[in-house]
Amino acid sequence: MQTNSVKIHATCLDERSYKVLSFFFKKYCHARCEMTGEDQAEVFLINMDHPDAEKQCTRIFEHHPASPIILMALKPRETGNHYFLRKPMIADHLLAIIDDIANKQADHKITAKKFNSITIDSAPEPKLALKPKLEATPVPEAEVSQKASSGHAAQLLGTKEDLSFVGVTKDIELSDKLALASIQFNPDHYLMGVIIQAYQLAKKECCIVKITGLLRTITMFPDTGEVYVELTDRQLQPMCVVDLNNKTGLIKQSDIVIEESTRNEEWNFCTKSRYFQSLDLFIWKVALWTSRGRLPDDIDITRPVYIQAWPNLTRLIVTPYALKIIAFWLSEPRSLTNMVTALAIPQRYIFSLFTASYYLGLAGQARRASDELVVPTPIITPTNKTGLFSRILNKIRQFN
Amino acid sequence: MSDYKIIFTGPVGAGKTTAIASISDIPPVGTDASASDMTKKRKGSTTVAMDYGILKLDGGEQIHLYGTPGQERFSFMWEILTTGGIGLVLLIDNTRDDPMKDLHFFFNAFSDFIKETSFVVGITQTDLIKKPKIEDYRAQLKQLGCNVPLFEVDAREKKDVSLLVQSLLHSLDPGAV
Repeated sequence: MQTNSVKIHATCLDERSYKVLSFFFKKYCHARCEMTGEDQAEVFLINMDHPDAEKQCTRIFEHHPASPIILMALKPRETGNHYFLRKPMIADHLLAIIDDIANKQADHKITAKKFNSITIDSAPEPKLALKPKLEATPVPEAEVSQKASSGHAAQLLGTKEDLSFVGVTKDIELSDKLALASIQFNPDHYLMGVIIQAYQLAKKECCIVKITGLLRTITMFPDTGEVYVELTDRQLQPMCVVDLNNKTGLIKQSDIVIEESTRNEEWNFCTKSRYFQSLDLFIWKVALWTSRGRLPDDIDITRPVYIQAWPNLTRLIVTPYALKIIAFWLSEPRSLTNMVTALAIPQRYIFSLFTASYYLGLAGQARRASDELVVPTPIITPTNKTGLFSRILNKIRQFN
Repeated sequence: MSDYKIIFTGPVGAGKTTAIASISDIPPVGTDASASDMTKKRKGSTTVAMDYGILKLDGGEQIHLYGTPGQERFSFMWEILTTGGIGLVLLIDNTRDDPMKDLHFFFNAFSDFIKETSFVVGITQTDLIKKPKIEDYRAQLKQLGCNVPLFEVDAREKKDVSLLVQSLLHSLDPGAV
């Protein structure tokens, strides 16, 4: 695919700054953007430290309402719906903004055209043909069939169980209160509590939320369903099992701050695409790491719990017996005690899956009066196809 | 020995042929022809009769995998193909004009078969276009009175297709192990 450079009209610059910026585009932005006149411009860049800047900004917005505007200044400022770039300019930051603009325009274009113009021989060129960052541009199916896979695929924990996800908790006598307490955890004592608080805030307010005071900032983007976290799973997992009340630990609860943020504000920091991941997958993993086969302590195992829908398992971690548990559980709310008895599988698999679904917002304790009715423990009896289905399952599980 | 089959359906370009190829033990038998008319806008060739693959089980048993032709004008074949089927895998292409309309169309077209068996839904090409989201499909299925397995799927990924079929079997019989 041919890549065009983005035509930027920079304004409120003296002649020397203009030349320097032109050189900066060529040298440090690898010619992915170029200076142009106002009429040809795709993006506008305004130096807000210039006395005429506000006036220019208003004029440009009125004349080119559909064009993205980047405001450049020495000090952070309120930018409304425009992008902000702090001086001295860093090439990566500018390119990140350009990528975002390109993705949005490509997205907009796709929605508007809905593939009507796609032919087999030529892929549609987005207006700004730049490297994709958050979202890919469309290609015709003829190309899709030849390109590599999307890179997403189901992640199944098979016979070689990943202990960090489901733990080693032994089955307990569920009527034994002391034993029960040993498989319960208070999420507020762990990073989980903080992350869930931020996740719920992000979802409720539909705003970007960041958590600071950890080793690295975690930023949630609910609009795109992504989270930016500069930590690998190997680094994050141990942080999820540490008790935050432990004053000798690296992470202290008192240092942690959850705050709302804006895309403009975060864009200068969230620049490395490899650190973006699915928000749902992130919550799912953190819940599993924290649970390790245990249950949140606000869940009553004798009262029914429900699951609203199948989790999007191909994009999450599939714990052992997850499909069997969900298929059984989905038919009606059941107590966890009931499920343990009926399914006859290690309790930790049921509890892990419940906890992950619970924090993802798909499962919960039944609140309706009708759900409180005691459902008799069903007996799963083999059907005339159980044998056949088991043989098919044995076959296709080999693909996991 | 009985013949069992799993049916893959969905609109043109949803990935039925690819999904069958992902898990079939034989090179899938395709009946693709050069696409003409509106189909050509989406892909170079399309299935005009059916796709066919096999899952070979231990003991010599075989599960036949049939892919229906995506074009509506071949809908007369759908009923024939589903006879004796275990269940339905419905693939929806997220990049199409109105994927929700596709969902309703195929749900209605196979409603008799679905009533007798069950179905699962795989949403393909979500890496290309992110909306509608999986939550939107959940809401649509809820309106249809269905709470069936619904996953984002890359038809080229064996694991994704496998998980979709596994969830179909578990939905039909949670007792299967």
